[in-house]
Amino acid sequence: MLLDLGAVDYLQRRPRFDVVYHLLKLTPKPATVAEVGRPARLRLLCGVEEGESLPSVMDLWMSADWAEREVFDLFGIVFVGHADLRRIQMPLDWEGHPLRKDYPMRGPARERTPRPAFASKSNVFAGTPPSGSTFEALQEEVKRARES
Amino acid sequence: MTLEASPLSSDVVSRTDNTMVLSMGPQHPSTHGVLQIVLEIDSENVVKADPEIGYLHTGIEKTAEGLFWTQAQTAIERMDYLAPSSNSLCYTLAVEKLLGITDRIPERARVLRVLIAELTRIASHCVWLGTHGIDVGAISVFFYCFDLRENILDLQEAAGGARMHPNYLRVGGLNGDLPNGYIERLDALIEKFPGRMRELRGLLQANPIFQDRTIDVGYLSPEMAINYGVTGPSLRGSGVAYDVRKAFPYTGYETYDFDVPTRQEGDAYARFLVRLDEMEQSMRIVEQARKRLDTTRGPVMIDDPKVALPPKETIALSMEALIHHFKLISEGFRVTPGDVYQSVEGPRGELGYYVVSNGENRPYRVRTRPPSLYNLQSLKAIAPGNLIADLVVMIGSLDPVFGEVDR
Repeated sequence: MLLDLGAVDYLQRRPRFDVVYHLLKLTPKPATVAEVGRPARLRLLCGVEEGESLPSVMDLWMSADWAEREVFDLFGIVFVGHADLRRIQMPLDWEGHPLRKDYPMRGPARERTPRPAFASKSNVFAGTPPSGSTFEALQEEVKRARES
Repeated sequence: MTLEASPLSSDVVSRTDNTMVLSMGPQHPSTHGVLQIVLEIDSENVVKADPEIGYLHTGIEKTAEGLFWTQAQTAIERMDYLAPSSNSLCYTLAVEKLLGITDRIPERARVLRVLIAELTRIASHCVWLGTHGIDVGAISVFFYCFDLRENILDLQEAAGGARMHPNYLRVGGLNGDLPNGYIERLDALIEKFPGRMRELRGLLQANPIFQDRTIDVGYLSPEMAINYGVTGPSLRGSGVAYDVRKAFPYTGYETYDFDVPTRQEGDAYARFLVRLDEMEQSMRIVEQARKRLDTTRGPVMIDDPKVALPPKETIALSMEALIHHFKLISEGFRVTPGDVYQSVEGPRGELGYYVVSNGENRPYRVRTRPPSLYNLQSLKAIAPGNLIADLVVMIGSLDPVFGEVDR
């Protein structure tokens, strides 16, 4: 049984990606716990360079179908021989592969816009008002700052 | 403003020969979340079913990479939102394996972890049973199930502070010992459980309408189940007795006495019976863990200042405690470089985490093996040839949780 198929991005390393296969050895029909016993488990790491592709294992295990689509979607690794290699988690027209290490955590669109400065007068009305000033005076000040 | 057609919509309305394509979901009440199934149908018969997922993709794995090892657990608990403690159990076990402290977890913490994991399994199966009942038109089951689940959520709230996501487990043990009054409420639950199960079985098991709707529906052969990577009750409903608790025991499951219920039929009714039996087996484990709580006293957190927060009362008195507390809160702990795969038996099947550390205070990569994703995939194989109405039963019997499928 193909338990799992995932990937890891080691940005600085060559080859850059590891595709990780977890395999479980089950007899065709183990009907009791004793028959299952302690099945053998195998982890297979497969180094892939950016732009390289891997052969699909969908013809061996159907469970590879969505798993390979997910690795393609989130890491951009192509599996040759996959019948229907589309994006699965992200929208079909999405650009980039989010789980890559060089993909910004907050997403590319929000990364371009700077975070608003903390409690600046032009955007946030926060903090303790200076002594002697009234709420209305502060509001006036905020309004002036916005206009200027 | 013009609306552009998405690549899917042209297929949705096309007709060829006798078949037409219909989109079911993602806002369909019986899809248990946000599942879209693109169906090719010939009158009422499903010719081809293609589930579309990803509507609940929230990037939890990416989020976890930016958080401390302990903080990441909070994000990870949100994956399978019906059984949060199973997720955190698996994650903490994986991190402990990386740290090499698996053998040093206090015995009481290990017993409590088993207790929490089995309670969360029962709570999760309660939701499954209630919604499965609603899918086939048996509304009252839902109320009985959610009443039982509410008792368990109360226990979660008492232990961890929150009903849905208690975040009670920690790397190295637990957040704290049980509060006063917990054991009494647990005893009340243990006492109530058999009667409630009899009622639930009485409502559905011999119900001819329910049997008509589920027997011989969604047949999954054992070979097919293994090929699709199906695990958990869905696999055991097809006659394969694979259970992670027995095959790769963790947190002392090998010392508990319980059976792994299996069925040979492989249909929705078999999966229903397996889950019901499993709830009773879980309660058997809960009872054993409850008995052990009386005899295993002691700490619930590992005695290692690099991982565990110092006791609150020592912080004002000891300089070392203050430093450890400050370091753990402000930059977390660092984990030995390496990679590890840890799996537990979640309510839906084998839940696994492949955790990679590069020696930093944040996980380098947390890859989840979501049981729901692989179980749901088998829908492509079992749906063709059935009626649309039966598709609802099949989805229910596979019990997917979309927080986990899409992550």
